[in-house]
Amino acid sequence: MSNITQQQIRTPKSLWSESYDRLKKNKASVVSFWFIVVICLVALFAETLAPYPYYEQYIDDILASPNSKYLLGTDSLGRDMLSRLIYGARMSMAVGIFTAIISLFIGATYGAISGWFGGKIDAVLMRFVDILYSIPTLVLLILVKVIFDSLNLFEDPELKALTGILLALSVVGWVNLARVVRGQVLQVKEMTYVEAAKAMGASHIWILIKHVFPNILGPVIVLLTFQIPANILFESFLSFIGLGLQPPFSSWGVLANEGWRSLRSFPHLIVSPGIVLFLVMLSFNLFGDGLRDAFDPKMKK
Amino acid sequence: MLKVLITFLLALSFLACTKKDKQSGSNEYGLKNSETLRIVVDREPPSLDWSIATDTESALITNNLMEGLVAYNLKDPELSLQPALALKWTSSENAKKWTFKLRRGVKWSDGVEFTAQQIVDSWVRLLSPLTASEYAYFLFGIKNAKEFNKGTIKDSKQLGIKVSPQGDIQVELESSMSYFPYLLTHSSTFPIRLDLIKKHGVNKWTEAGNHVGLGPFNLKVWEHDKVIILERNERYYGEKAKVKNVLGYIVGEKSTALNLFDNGQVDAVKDLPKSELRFLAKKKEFIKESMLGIFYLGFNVKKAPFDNVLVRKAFIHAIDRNEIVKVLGAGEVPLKGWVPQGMFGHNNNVGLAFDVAKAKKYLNEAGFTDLTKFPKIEIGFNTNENHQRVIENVQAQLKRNLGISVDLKNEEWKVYLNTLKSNAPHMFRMGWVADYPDPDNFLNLMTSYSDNNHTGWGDTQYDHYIEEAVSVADKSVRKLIYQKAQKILLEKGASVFPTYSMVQTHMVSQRVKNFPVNAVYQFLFKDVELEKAK
Repeated sequence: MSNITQQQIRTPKSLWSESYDRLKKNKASVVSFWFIVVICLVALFAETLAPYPYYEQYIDDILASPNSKYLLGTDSLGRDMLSRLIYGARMSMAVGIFTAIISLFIGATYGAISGWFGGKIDAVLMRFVDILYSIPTLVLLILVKVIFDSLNLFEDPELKALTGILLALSVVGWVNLARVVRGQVLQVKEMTYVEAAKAMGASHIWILIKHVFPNILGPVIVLLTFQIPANILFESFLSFIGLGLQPPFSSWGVLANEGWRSLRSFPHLIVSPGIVLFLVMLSFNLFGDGLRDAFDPKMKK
Repeated sequence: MLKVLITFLLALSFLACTKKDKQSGSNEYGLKNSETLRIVVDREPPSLDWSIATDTESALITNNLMEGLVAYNLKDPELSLQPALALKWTSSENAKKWTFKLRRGVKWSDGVEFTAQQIVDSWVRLLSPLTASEYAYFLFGIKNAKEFNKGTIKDSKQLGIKVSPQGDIQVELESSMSYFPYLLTHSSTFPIRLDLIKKHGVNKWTEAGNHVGLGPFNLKVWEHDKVIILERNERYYGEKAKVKNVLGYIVGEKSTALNLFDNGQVDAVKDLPKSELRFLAKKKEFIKESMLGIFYLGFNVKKAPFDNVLVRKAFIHAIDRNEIVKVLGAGEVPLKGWVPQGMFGHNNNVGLAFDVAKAKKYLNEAGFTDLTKFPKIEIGFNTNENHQRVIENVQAQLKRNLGISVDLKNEEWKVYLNTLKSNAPHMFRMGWVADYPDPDNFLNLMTSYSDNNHTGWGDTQYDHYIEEAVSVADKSVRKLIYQKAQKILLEKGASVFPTYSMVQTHMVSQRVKNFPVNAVYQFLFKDVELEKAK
């Protein structure tokens, strides 16, 4: 007992800083994280980074292969692929991240109410989720998108297309989150500290915000990192079937769709968006994996 | 281990199925590939009822199932006429009265005899207001036809169509029309069997099994949105078709079609996607041919801001046709007039040219001084990657030249046609391919009474010129009249923006001999021969 040194006494650390330390040790996650940061920066500063406007058509350079003037070549209307890819990052990342935030907001509130109050409320709310869950995602997506488009809420076409996609994806995305959050809340609400808070006379909302949410955040964040790439893919898919962005706006989905059409003759149109999509998906997944391991070290064993 | 080996061998055997096997074996419909011409049909034909159909894919099928009184001699570059169901035809009174002597003993594919009454039935049906055919105007040259179509004349007996005691068709026209027989090459004038329409109903008589024809092929299978199979008609009166079957896969996506072609699963792909032309043109299967067709943008003159002719003129002046042609890159010809290249009456000196300064001036005069506040407008087009490319270029040009942003809206073909009829967008894409090689076919489109005029524009002087021109036999005089008419349509009315004169590009397998390409876009497969796979 007496030879315990100062170093050996573990200074108590919060769950957060402990998780952070574990995450730092995972090289792949760190690299992925920085890659995502870089892509986000590219999306933010698209105007300064893109060598040409994304909509400008250089008619004399149609379908140029990658060269010194156009690093990634041009598309079938003579637009610079690199610029379109950079602007595409903005749309795709916006869709991915904002959709995740909106679905988190709806899903967490819904799931928490359901799990916390339990009983009849829980039964009703969860049956509704089941119903949504049973509708094929694609059908629901198309339905929401078409209805939203027919409302004509926004003048600006870019904003209109973006909000339409955000809404459609959020409507689909929150269901999963609601289920996970409910499950976690059910677990946490039996904890002694919650009981203690109840005994002290704290209100429902206070307990939920102060005691329940911080303790379920781990799994939720992990779920989000998986949801973001899924959203980006869904946006690609919507654009692919013509329900996404309208021309001349660019997203990775739009680019992949256009590139795929002339895959046979001009592969450079699909290669660059394909590689970027692949790397971003991979990064989000690796980062999500790292986060999960960091929050829940037991799972790894 | 054995499992792995078997899987591996199976995979190998699939790979070993080469192009040659696909040309000699048989396909999923049990047709021998060596006696089946396999083509791609670009979209589901909206209707195989030839009184009603208006699009190229329906025409492609119908032209192989049916025949009319006369047919083109497609071997003649000037497209003269040759006898079909009519053996010969004569005119009197300056081409105002026509007599068609019919071929005897011709039988429909169900064995029923072909009669002159079936021609009369078809023409009355085409003209009847109840049918509401968009092609009714085709026969407006016939005496009382226009009134009958409007419903002011109810009795079809008053039409200038008679069957003579000898069983010949006698037609009396409103006025002289030297090109009248040309109209009868078109599918909408083909004879029709009212008994079958009555028996199966208006929507069902064109289904496989119910459909009966006079042409070199019969409709064997029509799986909607999937496949159409034609089979040689052994009762055909002429020289029988050389191939036994024609198999048409309904494939909307061109890259899918081209993959099928590369795999040897189809023998021909029509109308290649422009994005791949630069690549495909180097291949030995590539075929290119001019065609009598135009691509144009129409304005809905009933909708603001295009109810103002100055705005329409401004938009026309703001779009450079040369740039569009460059984007397409298949050798299309920029078109300022309304008549395609290769047809008499073609004239690129009428119409409005690219001139941004003028465009801005007109918009200013129309009261749009601040173009950032220009009202939202929409350009409609039917879903097709080639059209999309053109429309996207137009969008970019309007942005660059005028600073006006426009929205694009694409719809599937059937839906699009309905939209144009009920509520056409501000601007819309349309095309026209000649039904008969005469400028009248193009100028007639924009008359105030034409069902294909979706612009809402009309001009009595213009209508008058078009009617006047058809009664004149002298080509040079007609040319002058058409010049005046085009001036009204394009310069005074400015309701349409003729964009380019079309060319056609196809991929046709080397095993196909006599693949039918011609300026009138009639794909008649009866002379096609297939070489044996070596």
